[in-house]
Formats: sequence, structure tokens, C-alpha cells
Amino acid sequence: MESTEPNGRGRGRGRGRGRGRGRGDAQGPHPLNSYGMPRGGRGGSRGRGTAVLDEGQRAKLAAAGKARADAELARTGKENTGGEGGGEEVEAEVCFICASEVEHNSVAPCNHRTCHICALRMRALYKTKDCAHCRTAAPYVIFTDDATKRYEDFTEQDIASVHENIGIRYESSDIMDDTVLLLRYNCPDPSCDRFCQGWPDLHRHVKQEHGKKICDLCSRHKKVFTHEHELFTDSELQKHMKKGDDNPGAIDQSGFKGHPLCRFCGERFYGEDELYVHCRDKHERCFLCDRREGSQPSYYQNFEALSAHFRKEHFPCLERECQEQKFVVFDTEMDFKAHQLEVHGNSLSKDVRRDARVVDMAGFEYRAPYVHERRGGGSQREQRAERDGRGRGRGRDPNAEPIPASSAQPLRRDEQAFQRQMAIQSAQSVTPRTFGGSLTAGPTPAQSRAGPEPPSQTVRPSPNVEAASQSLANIDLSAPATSSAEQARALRHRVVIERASTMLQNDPTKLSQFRNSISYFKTSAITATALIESFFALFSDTTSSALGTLIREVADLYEDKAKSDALRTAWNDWRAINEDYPSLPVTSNPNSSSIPLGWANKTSNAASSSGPSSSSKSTRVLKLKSSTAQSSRSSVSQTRSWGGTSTPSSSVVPSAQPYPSLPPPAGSASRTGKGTVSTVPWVASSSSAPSSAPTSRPASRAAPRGNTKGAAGGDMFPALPPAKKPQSTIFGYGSGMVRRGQEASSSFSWGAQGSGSAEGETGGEGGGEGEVGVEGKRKGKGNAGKKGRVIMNWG
Amino acid sequence: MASSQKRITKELAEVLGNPPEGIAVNLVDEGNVHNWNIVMDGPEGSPYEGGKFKLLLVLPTDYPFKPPKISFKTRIWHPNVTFDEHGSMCIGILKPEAWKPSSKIMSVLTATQNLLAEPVPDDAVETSAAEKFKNDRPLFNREAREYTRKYAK
Repeated sequence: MESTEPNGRGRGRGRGRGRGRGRGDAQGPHPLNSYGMPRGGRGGSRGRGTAVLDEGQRAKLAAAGKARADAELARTGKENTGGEGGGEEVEAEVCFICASEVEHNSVAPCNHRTCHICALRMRALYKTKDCAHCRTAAPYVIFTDDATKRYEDFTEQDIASVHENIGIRYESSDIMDDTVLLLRYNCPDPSCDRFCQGWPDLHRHVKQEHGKKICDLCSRHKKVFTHEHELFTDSELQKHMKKGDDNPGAIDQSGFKGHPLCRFCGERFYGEDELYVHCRDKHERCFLCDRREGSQPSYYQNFEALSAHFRKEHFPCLERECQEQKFVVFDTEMDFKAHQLEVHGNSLSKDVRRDARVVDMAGFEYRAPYVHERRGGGSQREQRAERDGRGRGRGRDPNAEPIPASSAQPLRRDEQAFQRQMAIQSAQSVTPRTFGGSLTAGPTPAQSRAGPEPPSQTVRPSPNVEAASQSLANIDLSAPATSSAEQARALRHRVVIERASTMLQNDPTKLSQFRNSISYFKTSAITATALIESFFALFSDTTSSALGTLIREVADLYEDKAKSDALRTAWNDWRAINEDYPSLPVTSNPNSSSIPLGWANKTSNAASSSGPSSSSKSTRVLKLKSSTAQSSRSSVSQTRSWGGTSTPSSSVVPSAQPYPSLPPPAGSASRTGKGTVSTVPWVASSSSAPSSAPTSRPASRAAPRGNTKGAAGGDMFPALPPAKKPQSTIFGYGSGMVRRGQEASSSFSWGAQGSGSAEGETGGEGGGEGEVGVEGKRKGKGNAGKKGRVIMNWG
Repeated sequence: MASSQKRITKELAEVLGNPPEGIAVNLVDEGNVHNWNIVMDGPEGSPYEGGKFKLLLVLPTDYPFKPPKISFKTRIWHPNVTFDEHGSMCIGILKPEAWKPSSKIMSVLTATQNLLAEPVPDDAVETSAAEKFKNDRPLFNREAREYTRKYAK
């Protein structure tokens, strides 16, 4: 063995500090021997297990130098190197990178130096040929023992051998030997000098010889030389895997916390980066949750699990093409609906499409404060789901005419509904309206309304209406005698006269007739009913809505409350008898506050005194009110208007808010006070249809029960008689809007229609009741028009 | 490991022996030289002045071949530091592709200090802060001071 490499020995003597040292340690104080031994060992050791001792020791020592103690190093260094000059270098120089003493120098083209181990580490393990100091590319470095010679001063003659693949030129084969030594599969056991053929061999070796293991993950990923790996017993390996070397207080801990585990696969990975790559490639991540929760990634084992999650927590598009794309999922229902309309709009049925649109709006409004209290503690998601279910379940009335796509725009829709209703009404024959029975229109109003109605809207200045209603409120609520009230009255007076003259085309005779009638009534020469009749004769040309407005205003002029009440009552009665359903379409427009005005007119034709504030809501309110007996004027008036309208339906759907199912209570209330006024009209109307009042009451009570169904549906549909499809549609529609405020939901608007016609109005009503309560409270607080209005919008 | 510890120990000794101004260092755990606690004073003249920022410096086992990781434990509103519980800092010297094994912890610390004094908005991770830094310096300074007062006192 010793003789195998005579040359090597000679060379080695001069430079091989490390080697010498190492040998010295291992073999004792005979440098010469030691030189020879390793050499021979190395030469002969290739591929076989002989000469284990020599090789092993040398390998170990030379390899990382980690096993040497500094003191020993110094000693042996001196001893070994003697006068060769190696000594000085050794002592002085410490590698800048690893802070260990330099065994051999590595010189890069930039003339930066490191120890040969660091250079080899970078090149062989980290696979980079850049200079460790300046990152300049170094295709080749020179391993030398000359601490000062510059890179460019080396010539071909100075190079003993070259490793092309790792770009190292060796000044001597000794240095090369030392280097190659590091790259062998050396056994990590400090007392073992065995080196193996490869990882499997080494694993087998450590297991058989030492009863230990090398961490497989580390062996694959850790960028250390083989002999730098750790040997573990089984339990140590487990700890290493799970906790790493985290061992507070221990001097050799590195902060390694163990190999992270993929809990889906039960597999561990070398580090977080590797785990990340694994999860990215093998598992699924919910991008929606990631977005929401920021840094905390949420993984799912596979796409099945992920899609289950999607279905549960998000809004996946279930269309086939989207399912194939796998990740068409939305965070909010709104986004989802938008997607449906945008991408699948063509394939959806009209109903669905409309539903989708409506949902958007409802969803949006759903979050509004007014709705808030009604929602209870459920989470958004639940509510959404609820809404969803409702929305999907409910179609629109199959009998209803298809609504063009454009109807999606709320305003549009209102207009259309309104038009439709007018057409219906005008087309209808003059059957007296019965409660709950059919929706047929009262002949006169219908006729009159059919044509001129739109104009009436324009004619009537909404500001006036407001002023009037406001003044009404003032009167009712505050002391009648206040100066502001006076002014308001004067104003109203003027308004009435103007309106009357306009309506009469400035015909002086008729105008005087008008005045006379009013004064007759004032002096009780004629009854309110007679007055109404005379008005009707007088204003035969005008629409009932315009007439209603006028009458309301006239009624406001009477200082005698009894008179004005009587007049209103009479008007309501008349209207209840003669008129058809009030035009509800207006109501349908939930969001636009501006609309209410125009619509007030419409309603007004139904005799609404309150004007803008009247709404389905108000009815609801009314109900409450009546119970509390504290109604405000405006509310009353609203009720009234409703009453007019609603009466018919009321019998059917008592509890439903929009429709005045309230009449009976109202009636009683009417006498009570101001609230009375409003109520009265109602009562009157109901009474006018004699049976209706009684019926309506019971019905209202019954409604809740029947409603359960409807309630569940969430629409507060007033019970519309199934009979007239078209009307019911409109109705439903209106009510649907109304409803929206309460439970609202997407389904509602259209759903309402559907349910209204299909199920019968009762269903809708049920839901109404609870809401009414809420509303009522609100009203009570707000006291009036204002509140009512708002609610209405919501309603 | 042994090699990284040797180097780290050496650097720790350097930093402790000659701490940069406005920077205090100690080990999170005396037995573990890989985790350092840093307390850095907000540089004078910057909106962070007067604040004391805690940072955590983690040196990987293959340091210095891999860069250390440094993060703010004290919230700081700065274009190059995420304004969250991670306080991740984006600094050129620590980017893997820019890291040099010869870079020293000392230089990382001073670079961090410089970054406080002079944010690099083009390298921002906190874009709103970067926008303000670029477009409305007085507002930026005010807000940064505000957050410094709030979190770093």
C-alpha cells in the first residue's frame, strides 16, 4: 500500500498540511509513515474495503477538517510541514467564507480566494461557479497551496490535473486527491473510514455496521458532503423528522425544526419550499379563501375535496362548460349571477335570467340597514343560501306574459307594468269590485283612468302633493293653529282652486259649481257622499287619480276634522266601490325614491291622501298602527290609499302588508283619533263592500297560517285572487317589490309574481305579518310620512 | 453545520464586539446562534426616528451559502416592509440571486438601517406606502411617524 504512490508522497510532503495534520492525529508522531499510509490507502482503496483503517482515518480527517482540534492542528501542522513553508499559511489564513482555516487555496479569475472546501461546496453541491465574494462567473478556479499567486500567473505547466465538470484546476495531484476525497460516499461515523459506492450502499453500510440511519430527505436535499450527514438511531431519526434538532440550550442546534409533513399524504418533505412545491403540484388550493384570508393558504387534498368546498362555501358555476374548466367559482352571489348573465345569458331561460338580475339588486339592498334587523343572527352565507334556494325555487307566474329582457331595468319594468295594468283595466268590463273575489276593475275609475292617467301625473305637481301631505301631517300631529299650519292651509287653498280650474278647463260655471258644492258640504247642506258624487259629475273628464288628489286636498281644507274625515271616507268608499285595484306597478319600484312621486299620483287616483309616502309598507304599518292606535296622518292616508286598492285583495290576503288587510282594525281605530282618519277610509271602503270587512279580518288571521308556505317563500305576497291572471301578475309584482324589504330576496320580486298568481296570495301574506310588526314599530317612532316613505321604498 | 456555526459565531463576535450604531443584538436562545434578536433605532432624520424596531434574523443552516432571513417584529409602515404580522422585508442584499456568501451579517444590518432611512419605492412590497412616498412625501412622513409612534415606542 505504501508503495503504490511514491510520487504522491513526495509532492504531498511539501503542501499537504491538512493531510499531514490529519495523519498525525490518526497515526501518531511519524509523519513519514503517515504520509505513506494514506497514499497507499487511497490508491488501493478504490472500490474495495481493504485498508479500512488507513483510508478511513485519512478520509475523515482530510475531508472536512471538522474533526480536528485546533490545538492539534497547530501542532501537527508544525510538525508535519516543518520548514516547507506550509506552516505560515496555515496559521495565518482563515477562509473568509467558512471561517475555518484554509487547507488549500482556491483562486478564482477575479483573484478572490476561499478555501478549497468552500469552493468545492459551491461548485459541487450548490452548483454555482460564481465567485463567493463577488459573484463573478468563474468557469475555472485553481486549487493551490500558494497563498499569494494570482490567477493569471498560473500557466499550463503549473496545473497538474483538471476536473472539467466542476471547473477545478489542481496545482498538484495531492490537492486533487484531497478534493476528490470529499466527494466520496464516506461513512459519517467519525470512527469509520469506510466509503461506499453510492447512497444505497452507504445506507446499507451504516445500518449494518453502525445500526444507524441517515435521513433520506437530508441525503437527497441537504447540501453537505456525505461525511457531514448525521447518523441517527430510529428514535433519533423520528425526532429529527418531527422536531429537528431544536433543542434549546444545546450548542449544536441549528434551528432546524424537522421536515414538514404533508398531512394529506403523510409524507414529509425536506423543507417548506419542497412542501410548497408538493402541495402546489399534488393538491388543490382555494384561491378564494386564499384571497380572503391573506397569507394562510388553504389546501384541499384533491379537486373533489376542493369542489366540495366550493359548493359549500362559495358559488361555483354549475354549467357544464364551467365545470369542465374547474375553477369557475365566485366569492359572492353577485359575482356569480353576473357571470351567469354574462357567460350563460343566452342559454338561460328568461325566468332564470331575470331572476339573476333581480337577485343582484336584492342582494345589494339586502345589506341595507333597514333590512338588517329582520335578518337575525344568521351568517351572510346562510342567508345567501336561503335566498338562493328561494330564488331558484320560484319561477315567475307561468301565465304571466313573458317580460322582455329590457324589463330588467327597474324603471322600465315599472312603466311596463303600469302600462299593462292600464290596458287591462281599460279592457275590463265594469263589474263591481268584490272583495277578494275578482280583481276586476271598478268600471268608472278604470275607464277614466285608462286614457288620461298619464297626463294626470304630469298635471299634478308633486311638490304640492308633498306640501299638502306635509301640511296634513302637521295638522294632525301638531297644534292645528300654528302659523305654519295657517300658511299651509292658504297654500293648499290656492292649490285646490288652481287644480280644480285646470281640471275644469277653466270653465267658470263648473268652477262655481265646484265652489258651491264645497260650501254646501261645509255647511252640511249635503253629505260627503253627495259631494263626491257631484264632484264626479263635475270632473267626469278627469281621471280618478286626479280627482282623488283634488278631493284629498279639499278635505284638507276643512278645518272641521269631522268634515274632512267624512269627505275622505266618502271618497274611499266611492273608490272602493267603483275602482279597481289601484295601480300598484308604481310600488314595484323599490329603489328609486324619485319614482314614488310620480307614483304617488297613481296611487292617489286610488285616493291616497298621503301622496308619496304611501306604499305597501304603509299598509303594513297601518296594521301595526291600528293595533297601537297611534297612527300618524300620513300613515293613515297611505293606508287609505291602500285601503282603496287593497280592499279588494284584502279579503283574500289580510295579513299581507301591502294590501290592506288591515281594514278591520283600522275601522275601529278610525274613530279613535287622527290615525282614525286614515283608517277610516279604509274602513269605509271595506264597509262599502259590506261583507268584505268581516271577511278580510278573518282572512287576515287565517293568512298567517296559510302563509307558512308563502312565508317560507319569503314573499309577502298579498293574497291576490287567482282569478285574474294579468292583474295578479302586476299585483304580485308590486307586492313583490314591497316584499323585498322584508325578506327579500332575490326571488322575491319575480317570485312574488309567480307565487302570487300560482299559489294564491295567501302564501305571500304570511311572511308579511312578522314584518308588519317590525315596520309598525318603526313607524311609530318615525311617526309618519317620512318614515313611511322610506319603508315604502323598502317595502 | 459545523462550518456555518463557525462562521456565524465569528460574525456574532464581531457584531457584539463592535455593534453598529443604533443596533443592538442578542441571541434568541443562547444555545442557538442561528436566531438573532435585533433592536434597531429608527434612523435620525427619517420618519422612523425615535422608534425602536425589533427584528428577527434567522441564519439558515447553510449560511453563508444561503442568505439569512430578516423580518420586522415591530410593525413598520415602510414601502419595503409588509405592513402585517410578518413584517417581511424586501432588501436587495438578501435576495437569493443577489446573495453572496461573503456578505456579512453586519452589512445586512447596516443595509436594513439604510433602507429605513431611504426606502426604495421601486422595490416596494407595501404599495400604498410606496405611492405616498413617491407622490406625497410630507403625507408619507406624517403617516410613517404616526405608525412609528403607535407601534415602535
